[in-house]
Amino acid sequence: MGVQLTVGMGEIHVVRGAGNVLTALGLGSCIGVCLYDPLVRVAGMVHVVLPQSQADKIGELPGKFADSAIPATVQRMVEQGASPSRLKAAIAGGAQLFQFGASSTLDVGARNAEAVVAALRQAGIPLLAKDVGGSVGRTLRLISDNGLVVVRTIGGAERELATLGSILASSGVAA
Amino acid sequence: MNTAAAPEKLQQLVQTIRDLPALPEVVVRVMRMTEDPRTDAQSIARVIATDQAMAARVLKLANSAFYGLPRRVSTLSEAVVILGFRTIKNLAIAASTFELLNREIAGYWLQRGELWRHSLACAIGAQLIARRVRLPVVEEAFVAGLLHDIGKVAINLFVREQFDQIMECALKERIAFVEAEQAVLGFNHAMAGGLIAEKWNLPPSLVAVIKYHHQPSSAPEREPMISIVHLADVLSITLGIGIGGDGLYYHFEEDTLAMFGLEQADLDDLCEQIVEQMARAASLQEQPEVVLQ
Repeated sequence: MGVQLTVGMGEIHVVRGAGNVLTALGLGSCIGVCLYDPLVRVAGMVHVVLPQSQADKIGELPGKFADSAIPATVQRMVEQGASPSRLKAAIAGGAQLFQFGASSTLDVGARNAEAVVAALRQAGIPLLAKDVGGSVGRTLRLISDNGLVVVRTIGGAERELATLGSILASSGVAA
Repeated sequence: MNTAAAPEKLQQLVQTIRDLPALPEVVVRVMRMTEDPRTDAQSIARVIATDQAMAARVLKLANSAFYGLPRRVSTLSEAVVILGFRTIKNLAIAASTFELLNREIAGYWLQRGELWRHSLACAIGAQLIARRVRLPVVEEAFVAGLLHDIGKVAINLFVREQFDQIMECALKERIAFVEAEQAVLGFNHAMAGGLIAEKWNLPPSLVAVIKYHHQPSSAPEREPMISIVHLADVLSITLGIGIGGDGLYYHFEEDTLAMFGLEQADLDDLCEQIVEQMARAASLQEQPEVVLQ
């Protein structure tokens, strides 16, 4: 009895058991973070919008900011029976306006990617795969059966980014 | 680069635009009335009430969570008094363009509803920017933002046919997607949008925003409104709201920031507010009826 959930901007969704799919649509500069505990099949996704939270603005959507999003998602997953030490991550998004010439002030995509990677490291969660940067829109899916992470470039093909539940998936990529 | 459209292709575009629905007469009248300082709430309400379907839709929007009214308003004159007639004008325009903007725009890989979401985010963003830089054009900014990409509806099929060539051209020549549209098709969505705006008899200032929203510096007169919508468009698309196959191949005129005295922290703040208001605006997206005639 699986569910298919769309993870909107700043939202966190956590599901337990097989047959569920979490999706983040239209990632531009935002980052979709997939977290997975293979043992209890708890899957979480958060749609991060900005790198840093300002204390007064976290409000109802801690998922909006990289620094508050990762701890909040881990917390929700622990409530569903996941163990922080078993979690593995994959991320996608963080696109930027195409650089036609001089560097841009609008570098929120790169800052987001940096902040998410730092927050994962801080939480001690290995980052197994990432598809970040460039100037393309992306759609990200996490399948709860085995932690399969699939990325599609809008207007392009779909490809497998990682399987977070794989036995071999034990170490992180260089961040 | 070939930038002139083949005559038959241009003819097809003109025909496509001719076939698009007209703006309802009521909206055109309301737009004109709000320009007149002598107009009062009652007369606006009376005009909208002559079109019952429109009146019902405006009331429905006025009661949506987006405006967070403390109680339900049941008459138009009440809505006009509480929200102000400029907001009511915006609601009438939103109600009457929803069907067009809510279409699937396959040429840009936008599913049904995506262009509407992008347009709404840009409308909200333009309003926020106008407010932040203290320009007294907040309500006009909403309409300009809402309609800026209307031309995509008209050139959708042309882009769909030649999407790969346009993308290839953008990548190879290192130009924005909109410029590649011009190079491959001989026209682009901003220009097509300007033609639609003229067909709808929209005010020249609004036509200029639609026409030059990708290149405010090319406009004959550098109106702040064009730059406001340019920035709102850039922020919305960067956030991925209605991001299509053209991705972020968008040329941002950075001097927009200096013009308004905005810095990175302001942009982050604006992004955050757009996201917050879009969450509230979800209620505005749930009005499926067709209004255009």
